[in-house]
Amino acid sequence: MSLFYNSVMEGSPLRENRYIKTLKCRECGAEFPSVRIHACEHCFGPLEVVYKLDSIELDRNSFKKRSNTLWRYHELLPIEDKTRVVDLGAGFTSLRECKRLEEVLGLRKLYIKDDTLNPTGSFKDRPATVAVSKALEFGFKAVGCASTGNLAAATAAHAAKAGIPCYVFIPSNTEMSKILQAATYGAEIISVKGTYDEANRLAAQASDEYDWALVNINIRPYYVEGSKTLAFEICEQLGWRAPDNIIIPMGSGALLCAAWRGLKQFRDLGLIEGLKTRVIGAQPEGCSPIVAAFKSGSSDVIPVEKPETIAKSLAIGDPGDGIYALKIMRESGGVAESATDEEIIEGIKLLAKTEGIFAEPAGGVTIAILKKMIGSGELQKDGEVVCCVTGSGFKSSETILESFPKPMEIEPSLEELKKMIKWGDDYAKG
Amino acid sequence: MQKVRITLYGTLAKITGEKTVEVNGSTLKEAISQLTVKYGEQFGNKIYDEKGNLRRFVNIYVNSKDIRFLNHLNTELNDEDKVSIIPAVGGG
Repeated sequence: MSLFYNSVMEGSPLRENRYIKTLKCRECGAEFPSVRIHACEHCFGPLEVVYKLDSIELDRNSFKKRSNTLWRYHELLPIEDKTRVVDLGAGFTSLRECKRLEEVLGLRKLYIKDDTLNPTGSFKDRPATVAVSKALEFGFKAVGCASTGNLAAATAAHAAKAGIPCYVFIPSNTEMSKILQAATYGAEIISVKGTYDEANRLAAQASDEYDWALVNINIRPYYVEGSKTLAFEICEQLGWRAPDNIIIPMGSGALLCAAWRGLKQFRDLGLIEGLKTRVIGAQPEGCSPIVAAFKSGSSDVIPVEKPETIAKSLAIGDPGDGIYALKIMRESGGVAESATDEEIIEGIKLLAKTEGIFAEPAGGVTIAILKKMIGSGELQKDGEVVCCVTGSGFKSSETILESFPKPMEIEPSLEELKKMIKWGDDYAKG
Repeated sequence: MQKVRITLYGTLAKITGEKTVEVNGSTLKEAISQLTVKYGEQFGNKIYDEKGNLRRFVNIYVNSKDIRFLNHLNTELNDEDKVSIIPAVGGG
């Protein structure tokens, strides 16, 4: 056994998971047992969980009586000790038909995967429930993460449920609602003067010093597995098939990669027939290193030093999964596209006014790009699109508030009300 | 020659057996070459790939600044600079 294993396996007995075959390096292909490691021993590349799909017996009927959470797919999640699962009910969020927005956009079929409905209001509950559960399995006594805010809240909530401390590293410009949320769940907030990438780097250094499971750093191979359930659910909710097009917001690109892995696993298990989904990645213009690489034909992602965007949850200048997201978009015949801050705000309002869904700016990015691609003809009007809305607007209210005028105040009298409504009617008529 | 302090993280520190090392070098490349001489091929192979390029997942910071925003391996070093070499920083 190598020096590497001797060092990383202290306190983590090697366990055998019935369905986990190996951890495989996404860069050089080297394989490792499923233990407490997060990077390749040879090249430091990221590791991914490979399952024994041949041993997994699942058909469409298997899911009929299961819970309406992402744990309905437990055979395809990297947890072996079910008693350690920390479950707040993440996943199995609504896939909403969007008739009004279809009409406005002139699109035949649109669905919104509404991940604002997760327990802490964002898709990050998916990786957090898996990662915190795995951290307990590995025997960690504390968890944490580096986050632009959503993961902070998700990790903190699951840590609270598990009754263990949580340390979150966030950039100091993180939205106040997200900080408040994580702090209220009891997390220790480490507010770093700098960008997300600087907070993330500090967290990586801290993982060397403290015995903390930093979910998106040293639990990362397991953490990203939670996110693929979004794709499982979409297939199941569409009647066991993959969508024609899927639009996914990209910060690190990890969600896009996980969703693609999920689609492929369902195909390989025979739960869906074939896979022709075009994967479309969406970034805000002020932080769009993956889009820039896609458009320039590069296979390398040049990091952005200082992201400038209202979509703070996507303000990751050095996207960890960027190169893999690029490959997936290209292989699937998809594209990468960006939206300006103005387009993002318009996207948020359009979604809210037509479908009653209040999204954070990352959701506005996907709607803005949907609109843009229909306009440019890159998305056929007679096609079908699933748009992922990954976080609630309540988490970014201060950003969204800036785009609205202060409400008119009136005295509590009917006369005043009538004046106001008349003004509103005239305003609506233009 | 400038005297700089290099801090190693993760597996790299396990190989050297030391977390912090002082070396001389006027550029980052020179400073790292001192480490590869001192700690041998096993260390060098972790930093550079088969073609001699810095590995994609080896992240280097000079005074907390990512060298990709400086002059990569040709970044010039000053006396007392602090260099951090951190493998596998994938966030998000």
